This record gives sequence, C-alpha cells and structure tokens, in this order.
Amino acid sequence: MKLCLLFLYFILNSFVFTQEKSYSATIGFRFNRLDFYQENSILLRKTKIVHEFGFGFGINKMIFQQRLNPELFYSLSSNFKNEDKFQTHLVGSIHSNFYNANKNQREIHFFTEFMAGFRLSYGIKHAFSFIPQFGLVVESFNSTYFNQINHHLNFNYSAKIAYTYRF
Amino acid sequence: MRKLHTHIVFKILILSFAIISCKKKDGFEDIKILGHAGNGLEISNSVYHDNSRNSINLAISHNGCDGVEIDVQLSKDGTAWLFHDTNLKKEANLDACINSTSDVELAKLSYNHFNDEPLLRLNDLQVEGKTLFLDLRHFNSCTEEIVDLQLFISELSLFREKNLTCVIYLCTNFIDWIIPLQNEGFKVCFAPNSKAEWQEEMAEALLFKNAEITKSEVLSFQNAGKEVFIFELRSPKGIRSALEKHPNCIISDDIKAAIIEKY
Repeated sequence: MKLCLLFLYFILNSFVFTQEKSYSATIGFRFNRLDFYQENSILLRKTKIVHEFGFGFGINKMIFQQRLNPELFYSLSSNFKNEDKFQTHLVGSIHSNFYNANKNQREIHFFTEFMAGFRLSYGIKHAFSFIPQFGLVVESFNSTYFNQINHHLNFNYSAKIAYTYRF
Repeated sequence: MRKLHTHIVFKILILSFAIISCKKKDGFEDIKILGHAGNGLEISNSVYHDNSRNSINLAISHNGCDGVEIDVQLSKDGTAWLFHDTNLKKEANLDACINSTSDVELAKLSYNHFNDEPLLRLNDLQVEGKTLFLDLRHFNSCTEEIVDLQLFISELSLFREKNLTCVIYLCTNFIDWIIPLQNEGFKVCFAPNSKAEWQEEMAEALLFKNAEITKSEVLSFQNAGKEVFIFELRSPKGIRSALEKHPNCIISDDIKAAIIEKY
C-alpha cells in the first residue's frame, strides 16, 4: 500500500515535468525538525531572480504514521555567484504544512516555516542542488482544553537535496 | 490518451489518500497518554523547557493528552519545586542541589533555554480534570540524605486540595515511602530499581521503561490488580510497541506522535 502510494505520487509528478519550456522542474528531499519531506517544484527564472512554487508531503507522517501531511511552499532566490556550472543563490522561502493529530477529536496542526539560506547547485541542463536553511517555525492548533488557538514559535533548520531539469 | 491517464491517476491517488486517512486504529482507547516532564524531557530544540509551566500547558492543550508527568523535589525550606536533575548546574546555572537551595534563590533562577522560563513551584500549578503523575525525588545527592517525608506530604496535600478535579499519582522508587503516602490517601506508583523489586505488593501502580517489560508481564500485573505505566518513549516506533503491550498509561516524550499512534 505504502509503496503503491509512493509509486503513484511519482507518476503524478511526471506531469509536472511537461510544463512550458521556460521553466525548470525540481524533485528533492528536505529534512527539517518536523519531518522528512518529498518535494516537487517548478522554477521560473527571470534574469537573476528565481521563483519556485512547489508541493510535497511529510514522509514519516504520511507513510509510517498514516496521516495526510501535505505541504505547499514558495521560495524566492537571487543569483549570488555564477561560475559556469557552479551557482550560488540566496534563498528565502515559506513552507506550510498540516496534519490531523487526533482523528477522534479533530486536532489539525498547522506549521508555517519562514526560512533563509543558500542554494548551491552544480550543472546547467541537469543540476544537483544542496539547500541549507535556517529560520522560524510557527505551530498553530485549536486547543479545546483552553478553548483557544495556540501559536508556538520555535527555531527551525532544514537541509534539502534536489535534482533540477532545465527545459 | 494522456488526459485519460491523468484522470485515472488522480482518482487512484485521491482514493489512496482517503483510505489512509480513514484507517482507524482500534484497541488503544482506554490507554492514557501523559506528557513526560510536561511536553517531553530533554528534547533538543524543544519550544519549552521540561517541567516549566509553558511545557505543561502545551502538553495538556493537546486534544488526546490525558495529563502530565512532572518531577518534584523539595527545596531547603521544604517547598516542592518542579525540576528533573538533582543538581541545578546543567539546567539553571547554579552548582547546588535543589534540596540545599532556598526558595528565594530558586525563585531567581531560570532554565538555560531561549525562552528563559522560571522554575515552577508545585503549588503554583493548577490544572483541571487531568491526570497528574508526580515523580517524587527522595534523595538529596549533595548531603546524601533522605529528604523529610512529612514536609513532602504537607506540600502534596496542599497541591491535592488545589487540584481536586485531577487524578493524582505519586511515584517513588523508595519502598519505605509507599505505605506512608498511601496512609495519607494518595495513589502510589512504585518504580522498581531492579527486577527483584517487581514483586512489591503494596503499590497500586508500577512504572517501567518500555524496554524492560513485555506484554505478558504487563498483563500479569494487571491481573494482580495493578496499573502499569510505561515510559521512555521517544520515537513513534517505541510508542507503538508500548501501546501494543496495552498498559494503563504511557508517558511519552513526543505527545503528538503518541496521539497519532493511539488514534
């Protein structure tokens, strides 16, 4: 079941790769203090600025704990250093994901990450990237015990490895 | 053709997600979940320090968390404070034992944590309708003396009066304290130091590490009329294995993971 789901997910991702040719498509894995995410995105390059729109899911929550844990993210990066195949970008990103911790009493936890870091990539048509980032994460959920929405702010870190295909 | 494939893949994907999210875990409903030292003990980068008020509030704010385990020690003045280690040096920058430190000094201290939270006095804690599991520290490691039980009992009695809607368990690994605490009307949980102490018959409840007890041993204690508490649960895998042993209660360092595994 789990393998089947993963397989289907990757098939779905293949449609993403057939977008307009001015775009790049990225597939990657990101580790942070919440989970280990599989992420897919489209990169739009405009001179030195790169916009990235993506989605993913938390592997531990989704596969091993059987909870839907979808993620959406956006990142904005600027070309910092360009040396032929080696490129360095400054990256700022916002990630948002959620899951329901308690199916009986419905307790949905929302996590919003505000991150900044670098994208170090190698390659032009086929590029491999490493993206270390640091920032903050806000956890929000509705507590029936205190009858209020709780927000908890904490430090966050993440590291992502990704493969990018440039159309 | 491609459109048809997309359509089929989407339908299968949505169906798979629905099956996963609707899969119900049965059989664990009667097992209570407590947060270890509030919202988890010694969790790296934790949002709040263990045994702090914020950590306890965060734990009990989760729908599905039945209460918290907290560590209780007496100050030099005989007041009960929440603190895990016997020495204050590592977590609060004072090279002294809690038992040898006055209330005035303790009130000035805060945890080595980015939230800079103050130490919490037991009787400043008030909770409604939860299970509170108080781990009592009987030994002063600085003077190598057993602390005064009567001072403990007077602090705990006051605490019980303030938290009448809560179920309170007192946990000790000192056999000599079981009967005096029971005589005061407290529910006592015994934490055996070794397997030789497993046969202790007075306590209503027993506390074990997950790795040191099996499912059949849990059942045999329950058949003898005792409640079983299991702790040292940090990973979802460990929590799952503890739930499968079907104790009365698990004390988890990761409350969200415990709630996910239970429901």
